[in-house]
Amino acid sequence: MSTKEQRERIELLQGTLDLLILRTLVVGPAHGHAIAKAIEFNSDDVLQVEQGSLYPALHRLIKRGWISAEEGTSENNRRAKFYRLTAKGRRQLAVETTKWDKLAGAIAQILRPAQQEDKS
Amino acid sequence: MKLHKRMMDGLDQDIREHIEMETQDNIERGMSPEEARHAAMRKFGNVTRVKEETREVWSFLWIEHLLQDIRFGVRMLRRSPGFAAAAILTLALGIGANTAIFSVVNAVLLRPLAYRDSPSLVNIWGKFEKDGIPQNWISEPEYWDLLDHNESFAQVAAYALGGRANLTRVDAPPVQVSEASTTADVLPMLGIVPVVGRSFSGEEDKPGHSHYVLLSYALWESQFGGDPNIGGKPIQLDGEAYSIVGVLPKQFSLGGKQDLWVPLGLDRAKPQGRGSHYLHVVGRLKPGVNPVQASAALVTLAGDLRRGYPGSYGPESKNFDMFMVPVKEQLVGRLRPALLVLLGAVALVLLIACANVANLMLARASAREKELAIRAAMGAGRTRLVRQLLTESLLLGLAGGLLGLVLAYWGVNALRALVPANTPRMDEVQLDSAVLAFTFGVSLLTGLFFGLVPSWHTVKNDLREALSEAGRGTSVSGKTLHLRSWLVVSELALAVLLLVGAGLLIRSFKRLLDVSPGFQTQHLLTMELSLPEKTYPDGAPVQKFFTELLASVKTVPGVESAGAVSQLPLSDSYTSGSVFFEDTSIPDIPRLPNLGNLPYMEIDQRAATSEYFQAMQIPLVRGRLLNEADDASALLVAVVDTNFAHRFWPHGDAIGRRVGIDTIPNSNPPMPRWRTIVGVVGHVKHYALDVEGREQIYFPHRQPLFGAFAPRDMTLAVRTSQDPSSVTNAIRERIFAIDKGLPPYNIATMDQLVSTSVAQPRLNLSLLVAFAVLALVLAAVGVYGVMAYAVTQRTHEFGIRTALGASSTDVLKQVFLEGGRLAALGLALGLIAALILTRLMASLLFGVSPSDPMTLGLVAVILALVALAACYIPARRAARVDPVIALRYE
Repeated sequence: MSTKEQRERIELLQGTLDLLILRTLVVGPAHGHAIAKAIEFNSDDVLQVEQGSLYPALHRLIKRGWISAEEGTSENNRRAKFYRLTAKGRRQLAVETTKWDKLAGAIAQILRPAQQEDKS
Repeated sequence: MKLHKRMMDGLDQDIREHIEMETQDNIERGMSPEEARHAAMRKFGNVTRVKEETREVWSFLWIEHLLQDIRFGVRMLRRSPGFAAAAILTLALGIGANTAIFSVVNAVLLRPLAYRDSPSLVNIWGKFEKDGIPQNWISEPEYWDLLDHNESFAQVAAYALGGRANLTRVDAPPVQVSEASTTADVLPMLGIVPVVGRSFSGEEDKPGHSHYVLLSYALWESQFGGDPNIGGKPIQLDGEAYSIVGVLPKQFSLGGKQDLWVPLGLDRAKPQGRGSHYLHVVGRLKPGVNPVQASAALVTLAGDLRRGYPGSYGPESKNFDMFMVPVKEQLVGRLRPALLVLLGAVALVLLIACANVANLMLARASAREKELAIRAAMGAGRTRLVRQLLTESLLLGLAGGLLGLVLAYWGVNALRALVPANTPRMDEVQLDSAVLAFTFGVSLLTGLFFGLVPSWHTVKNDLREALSEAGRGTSVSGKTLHLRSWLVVSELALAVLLLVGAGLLIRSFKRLLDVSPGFQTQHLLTMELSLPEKTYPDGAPVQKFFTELLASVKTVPGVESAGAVSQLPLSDSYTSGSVFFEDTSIPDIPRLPNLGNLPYMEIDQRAATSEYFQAMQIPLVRGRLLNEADDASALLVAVVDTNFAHRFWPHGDAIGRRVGIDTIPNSNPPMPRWRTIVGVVGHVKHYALDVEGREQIYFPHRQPLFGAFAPRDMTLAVRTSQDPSSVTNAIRERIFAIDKGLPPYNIATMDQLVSTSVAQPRLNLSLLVAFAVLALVLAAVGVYGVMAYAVTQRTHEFGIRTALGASSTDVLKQVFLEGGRLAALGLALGLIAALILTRLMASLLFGVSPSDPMTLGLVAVILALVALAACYIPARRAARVDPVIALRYE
């Protein structure tokens, strides 16, 4: 593993990956690889998930009933599991998004004055 | 779990496909296939770990945490074996006692009887409440009426107990056996299948055709060597040939010990009299019929019978009635109060044990404050810490439960040996799955109970404080001491409650033994004889036999006097019947419409030989006793007891009054056969020492009763000058000299009968005393523990006091005062609880009020002494504190 790559990436907070998966699936069902790609692409490659960690997260979401899985065929004719957001998952996403916004806002508020203090 | 399986099964392939797609993408970006594959693998991460983590999503994390906690808990307990041993032993005593008592409650009260669909089985009884007969057997005509007007019962069957027969053998001495008779349908109805042979057929249950017999398992083994081919073999009963059809299962009993069963052979065409109540009737409720309906139907039937046969049931409206009792309630209902009190007692013992262990845990928790604080500092959450501490206490609880099971196993064996022989269902008591489940549940609950308070208490305290202190944690310990004091106070209170219960039973038992039964119990030998009808067809030969026998027994060296009676006191045999009075001025009693409207009353009736009163030493109060001259040719006479005389002639003299129980044979219209009261004797406690019983009347055995009848079943009462059992063999020889086919049975000294009659209260007493002592010891240990701890915590303080001039007596006094304060508080709370709760055991008490001041006072003294004794060692230690060492200790 290259250390350079690691420094550039942002470590995902616990639970954030779940949120990202849910968000990704809002537009429609997708298989695991596509979800990984979408997360990377949509975050301008800042958030680089170690793709394997997607799977425990997917299983966790299925266990909670937030997403469901069905067999399907990928764009290049490969057998794959497609994950779909359930109604429960959709509600959860709304809740989590609000929570996240609040958290992000709060952290920003804490950090910004701290930076000013540093400068003074 | 299907979802889980489906997801996990596909995981391997999902991962493979994922990497494949990424590889494909990489190739499209221009990498070489090998390079593309490596990049994809790298980007995916560790496949094994991913799979592991995914599997964990579905696994139960808490189980792993639990295992971890258990491993840790075991390690911690191992590290303090003294503490673990003390806690486990304390819990084992509490849980063991609970398990033992519960196993009895379960077998006796909870488990259904071993009959087919036993909850739908009921016993049907009559009653004559105004005559003082709250439960009466059913007569043959009533039985047929029941069958004819039955809508509630799927089946109704009858049996009769209390028969006796001589089993004669060519190759062995005769034995006396108890005989029950039953209609053919009783056994199939109860679902009882003989272990050998079969039940009676309907054909065998016909009048005059009933010479068939079913053996009890015990008789089969003792007399027939367990012969598996016994079916069809002949047997001689009272000199008549019977054919053995089968052997009943070992556990089977319909109340009491029956050696063999014969068909009842009821003759509907020639039933016995409507007033001859001797049948036990058992019915099975139809499915869907509720007991209330069935009871109402019985009441209706009884009403119809009263109106239809006023001569038999008297004009007293509402006197005769019928009712039913569930078979199980009938069998074990009388044991319920005692068992529940005992169960309550052991529950209290367990509570005390819990408090003690909680106390130990608290003491240990103070010592572990640092450990816990470090663990908290390293990131263990409070709930996690509580869970860890709880796991430890649950482990202790379970270990205590396991050891408790061993103790209970011994306890149950001991109990079986201790309970009176006539206690129903004791042979069913065992440590079965229900008991194991109970013990497991109690162990868990116990662990939770004594663990929750200390662990929460420990974690709640600011753990940082514990870390920052020098390690002695005085502020926390102060709070801990407070909690521990309260635990000890409650232990003492519970112990007081148990002590009061035990004390009340001791006082009751003492009162019971002080009761005079109305005769002299020492030096009295008793044995029963049943003369078979075949060789002694009516009164004359029976009377001749007993006259001869008693004359002969009197000449046995060591015998002072010898008599016989139809029902011996305290022997579990009794009979009563209507006695009517010539004196029509007796107020407030029912009248006999078919016999000149004479007043009558239900009275205990006995036939006695002339020397019976001398042999028993029942005192003569007025008039004379029965004597040799009272035979068939003389004036018919009777002797009554003082209760009889006082009840019916409170202001006059009973002597010379005439009473009757039967009519002159062949008189038409029936004329009373009068008997003149010639004497008044003392009342005898016939049923039990604590039961006053009915009024009693005695008739001379040599004067005819009901035609020319004389009772064939008589009990000898032999007054001896030495050890009564020493003359047993001599008397048996005298009996065989007259009739060698007549074995005496139920041979016992009167002292043994008295002892048997109080066996149940004695057992209650022994158990409750044992539990109370256990409680007291545990509570004393609790007091000792807390005081010792307090003294250790305050070594410094005592040192300063001594240094400032306090004498060791002052210090001693201070410790005793504090211990005394705990004891006083516990005593006060315990006495208040006792005043409220001992009322629940009122039915077990005799002659003592539940708030007996003597008992309460004694308990207070005992508790105070024990508490002070428990303070003694810590106080001594406190008084000896060397100020120099104590101050340096800081």
